[in-house]
Amino acid sequence: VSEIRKIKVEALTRVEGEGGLDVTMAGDKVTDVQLRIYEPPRFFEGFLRGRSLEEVPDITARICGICPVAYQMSAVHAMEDAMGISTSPEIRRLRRLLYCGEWIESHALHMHLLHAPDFFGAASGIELAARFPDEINRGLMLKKHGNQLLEVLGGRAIHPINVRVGGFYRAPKRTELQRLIPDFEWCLQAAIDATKWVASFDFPDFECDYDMVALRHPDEYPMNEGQIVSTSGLDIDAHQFEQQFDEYHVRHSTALQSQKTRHKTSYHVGPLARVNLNRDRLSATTRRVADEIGFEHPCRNPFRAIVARGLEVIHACDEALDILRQYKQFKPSHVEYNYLAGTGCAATEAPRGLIYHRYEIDSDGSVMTANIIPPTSQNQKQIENDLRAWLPRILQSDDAQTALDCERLIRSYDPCISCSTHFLKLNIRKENA
Amino acid sequence: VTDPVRSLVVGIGSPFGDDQVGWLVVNHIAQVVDQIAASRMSPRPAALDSAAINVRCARVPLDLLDWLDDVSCLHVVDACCSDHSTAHLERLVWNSADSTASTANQFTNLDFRQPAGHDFGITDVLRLAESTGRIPPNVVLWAITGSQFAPDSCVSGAISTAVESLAEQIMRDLSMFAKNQS
Repeated sequence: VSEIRKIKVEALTRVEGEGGLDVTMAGDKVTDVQLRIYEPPRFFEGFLRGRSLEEVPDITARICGICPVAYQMSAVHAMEDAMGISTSPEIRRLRRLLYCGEWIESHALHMHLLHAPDFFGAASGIELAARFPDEINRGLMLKKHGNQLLEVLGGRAIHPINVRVGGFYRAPKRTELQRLIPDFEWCLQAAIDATKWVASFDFPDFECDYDMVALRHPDEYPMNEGQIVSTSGLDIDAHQFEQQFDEYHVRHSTALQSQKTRHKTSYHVGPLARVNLNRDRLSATTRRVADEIGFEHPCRNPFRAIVARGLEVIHACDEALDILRQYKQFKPSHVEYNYLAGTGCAATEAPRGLIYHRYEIDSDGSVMTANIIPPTSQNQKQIENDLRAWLPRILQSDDAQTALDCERLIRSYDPCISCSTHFLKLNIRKENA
Repeated sequence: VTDPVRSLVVGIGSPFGDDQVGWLVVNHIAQVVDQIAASRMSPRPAALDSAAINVRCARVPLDLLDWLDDVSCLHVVDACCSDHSTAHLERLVWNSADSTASTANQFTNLDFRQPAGHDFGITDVLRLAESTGRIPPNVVLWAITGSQFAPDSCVSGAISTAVESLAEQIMRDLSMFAKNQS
């Protein structure tokens, strides 16, 4: 009879939100892995019902303090899809600039304070900062400048308030953006140096045969538009998302898990998927750095997602600089629209991966139904599968070290648990008195 | 002519009950600073008008790190839970030379209202600022004891009443510091 060994992580650290991990093994066989998300569900789709569509960007921004732009912009794109609204190229560029700001601040935080400590056996970003003050300071400065973009474009860094259906409440003045140019010239070089630093880390030799899913656009690195493509050959419009992917409830998580509908299989979203599927769309500078550091194509090592994040920070700085230099204030800052009953959906790329929104709008502009599928929800099943493959390699360690190694793999996904707990399937069992 | 002392006062909080106290106190300070700037306050509080005072509200302590450039004196105002009565004000001085021992412990022992996510409390953020050489030479933390923090709760009567006097105590400290530096 095989001895039963249980490894438990009560509370994952250096992730956003509250979750744990339960692993059960019989001898050297992994019999069960449960990424246990116990943070209370947040019912955002319920809150949105009956609300005016003008309120939706500000409400959905509240889903996350790290990636509010992805939530509010996905909502805006879906509303515009429902009502057939087309925006101007100027609005489109400013929206990409907003995404650049969010990717820079979110990735810089994760790379330097949350993930990098794992590669040096440091318990925290603070401990790492004592050993690498210049590198961590550089990361903090990158984060600061990402936030600066959000402040100028969105009115504030956390939960920006300048985004609306049809565009922006106010387009910034040329001088407001031009004064950021020297900072972003610094940022571009800092991002290159930071990426070279993380690429020099010692990575575990571990690969998974992922089905990677991301947006792909004909002309640009995907942020807020494009087809949904995968390494297994999928190529669909956002309207077909719910035919190809579905969500389901598991007892150990208040966040719905996602799978590919056809074969009930897991898939991987995030920077690694984006870079693998869109390497040719990265800026020339970013591609050059990717080649210099020998970033493999495709990369199937989840621990190397930190390098993919670095490459995306370089791209975001490069693109932000380009937009800042060319920007001229424009009017109107948004397009007018009339309410139109209909259903709209959109897929965009949050820092942590593909995010999908669908809204049904009534003729009076109120929301009838909403469906929001965040990246961390989609990655849960993949994380559990990764752990099943990773555990046999680390079993020889004691329970505490094995638990730490499991956490390390989970953190490579930069999970945002608070975002993912958006819904709970509620089963009510009625018994006769 | 010496440069004015650059003081930054940051209120950390959330919209939930007494957790708003940091925001309320710094907003009151901001009003007073504005009045001084407009010379509507007479007599002017000693030395306060010679200090360059910047006031900000933060939702999470990590935001602080973006605002520390050229700051010589940082004041952080935050709600906490303690055995003291509601609205009790505790003044703690961050001692860089002693950050790994008693000072840090003094900070850690207070139960600040922690923001969700990423585990960066005020002590962590100050340690991080210190490790990266970004901590201002003078850091004071004002911990104000709150009693209700539920998401649907209002500010308690005791906190509401005390906001003005709490702000005055902090401004006296700012004045004193500016005076000593000049």
